[in-house]
Amino acid sequence: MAERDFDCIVVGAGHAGCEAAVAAARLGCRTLLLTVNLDRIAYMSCNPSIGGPAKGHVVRELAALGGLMPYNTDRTFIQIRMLNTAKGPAVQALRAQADKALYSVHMKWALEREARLCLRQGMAVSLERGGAGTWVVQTAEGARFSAAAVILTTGTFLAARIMAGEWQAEAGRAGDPPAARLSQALQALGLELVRMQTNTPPRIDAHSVDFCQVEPQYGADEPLYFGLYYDREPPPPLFGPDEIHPVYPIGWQSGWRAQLPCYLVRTNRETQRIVLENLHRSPIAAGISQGAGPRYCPSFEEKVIRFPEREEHLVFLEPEGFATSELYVQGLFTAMPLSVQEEMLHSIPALREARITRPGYCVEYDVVRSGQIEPSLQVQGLPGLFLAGQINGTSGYEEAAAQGWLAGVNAALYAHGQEPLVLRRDQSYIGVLVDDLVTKQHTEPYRLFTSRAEFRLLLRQDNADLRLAPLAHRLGLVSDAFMAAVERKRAAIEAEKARLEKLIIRPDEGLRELLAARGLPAPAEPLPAAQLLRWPGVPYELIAALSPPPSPLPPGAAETLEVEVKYAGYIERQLAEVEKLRRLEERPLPRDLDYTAIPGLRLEARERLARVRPLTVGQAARLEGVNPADVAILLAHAESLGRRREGCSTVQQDEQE
Amino acid sequence: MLTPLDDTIAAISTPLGKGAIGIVRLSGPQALAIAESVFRPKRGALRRRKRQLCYGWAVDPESGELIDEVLAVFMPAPCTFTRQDVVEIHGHGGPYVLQRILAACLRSGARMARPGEMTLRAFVNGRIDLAQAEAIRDLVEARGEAARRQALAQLEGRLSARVRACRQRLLQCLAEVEASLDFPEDVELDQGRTIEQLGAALQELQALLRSAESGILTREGVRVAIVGRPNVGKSSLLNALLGEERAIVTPVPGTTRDTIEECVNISGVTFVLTDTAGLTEEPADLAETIGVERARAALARCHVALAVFDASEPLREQDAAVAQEVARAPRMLAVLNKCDLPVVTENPPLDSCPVIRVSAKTGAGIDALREALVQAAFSTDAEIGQEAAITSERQKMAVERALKSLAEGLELLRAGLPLDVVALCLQQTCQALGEITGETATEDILELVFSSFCLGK
Repeated sequence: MAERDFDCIVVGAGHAGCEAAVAAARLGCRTLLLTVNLDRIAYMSCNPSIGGPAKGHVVRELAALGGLMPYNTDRTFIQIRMLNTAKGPAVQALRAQADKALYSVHMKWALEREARLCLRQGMAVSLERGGAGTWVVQTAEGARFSAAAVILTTGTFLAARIMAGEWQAEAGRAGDPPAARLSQALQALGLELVRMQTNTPPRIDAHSVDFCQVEPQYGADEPLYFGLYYDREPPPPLFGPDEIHPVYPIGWQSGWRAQLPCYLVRTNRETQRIVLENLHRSPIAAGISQGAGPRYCPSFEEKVIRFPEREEHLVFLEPEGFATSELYVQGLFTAMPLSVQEEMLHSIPALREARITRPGYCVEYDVVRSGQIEPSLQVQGLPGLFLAGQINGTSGYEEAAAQGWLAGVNAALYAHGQEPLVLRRDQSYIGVLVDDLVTKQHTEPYRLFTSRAEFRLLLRQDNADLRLAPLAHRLGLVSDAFMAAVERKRAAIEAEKARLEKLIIRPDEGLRELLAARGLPAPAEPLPAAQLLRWPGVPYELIAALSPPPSPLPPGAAETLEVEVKYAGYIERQLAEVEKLRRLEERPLPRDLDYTAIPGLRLEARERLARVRPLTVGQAARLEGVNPADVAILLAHAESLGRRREGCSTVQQDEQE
Repeated sequence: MLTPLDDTIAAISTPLGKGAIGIVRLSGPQALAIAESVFRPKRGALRRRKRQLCYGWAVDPESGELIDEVLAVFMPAPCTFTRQDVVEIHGHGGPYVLQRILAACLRSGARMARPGEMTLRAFVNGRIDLAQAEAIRDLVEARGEAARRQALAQLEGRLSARVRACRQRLLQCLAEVEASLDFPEDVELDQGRTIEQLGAALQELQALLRSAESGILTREGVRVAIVGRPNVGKSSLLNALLGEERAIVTPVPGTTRDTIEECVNISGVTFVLTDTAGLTEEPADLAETIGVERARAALARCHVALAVFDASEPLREQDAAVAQEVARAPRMLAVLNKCDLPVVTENPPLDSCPVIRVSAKTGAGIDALREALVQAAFSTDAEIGQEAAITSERQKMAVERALKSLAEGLELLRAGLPLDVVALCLQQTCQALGEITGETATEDILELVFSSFCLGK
């Protein structure tokens, strides 16, 4: 192979870039991480929060895959909670408030401990093909680096400008310059770009908040972590209770770890009036911002326009860290002029005196139009060039980190000349995310929801390790010890399941008491423990109390066991669905298939297929604009092609016809 | 919405309509197993008599009820039309019988073949040449089916509008459930209202399923059993309705030893008329005993029972027995025959059912009987063609599946089980209904979530 400076270059050190760089480096690549500002590594430009439904699932998946985000969050969160506890095992999800500054610092430390990884500050301005299958990245300062693979994680920085009211600036986020010239380099490579937009609320000084008029929202009072530690000690927080900023009225602290509450306030009719009177001054509402914004995270302007009958909206004040008095005003996303933002805040009783530390604004930036990447996150037709994070039209730190991990792995596999890794929809939320990016067309920043996963009951956060750790272990991204712990958990679950099927529970006094304590009737007949566990309201701990397992279950096993026994019927249903679809997934389509030469495809389908170039019939079937008739034709054609290649005769007479 | 190639499909492979025989074809790895649950050979086993016609019965695998006397043939892969295991069941050519055999196959695990799907498999598996791709394309694009459906387009248009409305209601519920799962801090589910909405949708689907009866009747024929004690003129009545001498008519009681099945078109609806042996308590011989049993079987599976009485004679005990048996039929008509003779019996021994006075001999009253038959067949739903109705077994099964998962979801919700499982049931419901209207759900739901809720986080 030709001389090259690195095996892999990652452009951008946000949540995608960090995961990408570390995954590539750990897989043996000499890796360069290039960022415009080394003091903004893994920076939370918007919400200082990680997790929530689907997003929290992704973070757990990263924990099983050897990603950085889970551990980094566990060391720096100022609050953690489990959401949806009463809504079922599939949608339970962790969410944490992270200390923004610590998160960034701690991630930098982690990167600096990585062998084969170089950090470098510099603005990438060009990207070209070098000789002998290399890529060359050049910085504004004139440094040139070559590598086999390049991963672009440009976030909101590509040709970005930020806006609030009449004010505009060329910036990727307030305080940092945009990547002004890289867009042209991408267009020169044939990539099609579109504009997207997102927004961030003002930050305010906690000293100016009337804490008597807020409703505190507390964190969990039992230990919760994103990371998977099994028998090991969970990581300690980087800050202790003593370091908490004195401005916060600490009326409550969880026993297991220092946490800060968030504070709920509500907007009112006055807030609505202020917004309505000033709508023309918001670049979002006035249509000055060209990008498409996210519907699930609308600006306050959009909320007022779309839901005029709602007088009250919830606003959460979230501390940006233990030691800072800055509060993130969650829910008040706005690009109103500064003076209007102040008026809006002051209309809320607890915020009458609120002082803005940083105004809210919207940012508009270039992304690569959907349909140009492969399931490996490599750009179609440009081997060695990978994209991850917001450049693919997504939003969210978790979505970015997931793509970063996958792009890092695939860049390393590419550099080593190996087949790419593709994650399936029935295997992980990351698979759902990437498959959606490949097969669907997006007009707004893409965010994961649990409802995007058709096999939600299989993709739980409690079984992320069982689903994905073997894969990460094969790659070499998790240790043997970690893998052994996962396998111990798996074995314990299977053994206990088998025991519960055989164990007969008799309706004696002990059982009657335990059930009565939960308001449940006792069974009339003896029944297998597994069957009793399927009763609504009967937890595994009740069964374990009646008849403990021969040896205590390893951490996390009981939770998964309970879900798998309780919801066995539904899980089996989903598995049967998966099996049905898998057969289509296993039918490959040649990359060079000439869709114009296939008779019978409708024009819309033909164009879509030619653009996306799906790898399997299953993927083709999920494309918008491709209907079942098209799929049948495709299937028929792929099969006949396969046969022709094998050189078989296609027609044989037989006696029946 | 996808087309797997390795499951087992079933279809009626002969043209719809009346023919001497009709063929239901199964293709796929489970073809033999499914055929064995539907086909009961007189002797031997289907699997051991490859490529030989096997005589026996098509039976309903659930009730064990005999559907038709048939021939079946098992052709193992690869030397078949589709290069998969194929079983053909050759039944009598009435659409109703064939539909029942097909339905039995579907219930035993086959999937209804899409139009042209057998041919598609033949092509994919190399049985026919690529040169025939054009023809296949036409088939897959369902032009044949479109033509076939033309006549029913009006009905089906109304049906899908009704299904769509119901599905929309369910999607709205699902959107609310999903929103509460994905945005727990923004959206609180109004459980009571959701239960109410789901309950309404459940009722709507149940009504839809009831309409399946009249819809499928329109399409596949209304089964009419002509029953009565011996010699009240059942066969004459059949002949009069057919307008031809089909059944042998003699003045000797018990002339009809076996059931006779014939189709007749009345007001555009196919009626499958079954003439039966007279119901008698004391059959003269074994043949008559079997005849009576078959008459009872015909009565058990008919949509309308025509109870025939002799107006020229006083009622006998046997007439009362007939009346009792007929009362179990879903719908019934009392026919006082032989009104050309001096009338002795004015009223049949049946309450609250329409009475038609006819003379099979002169044809008097036969038109009124025809009209009464149409009315009786569609009395549960509104007029034929007026109401949106399910017209095919495929649609009916989709609604049945939708109904089953909806009922389950509702039950789980009422029992306070987690919402993610409730959502799973609702997704399956919407998916099943989407098969009728041709829509898929994921994006629809997100669209609804975004338009219905103000979301912040």
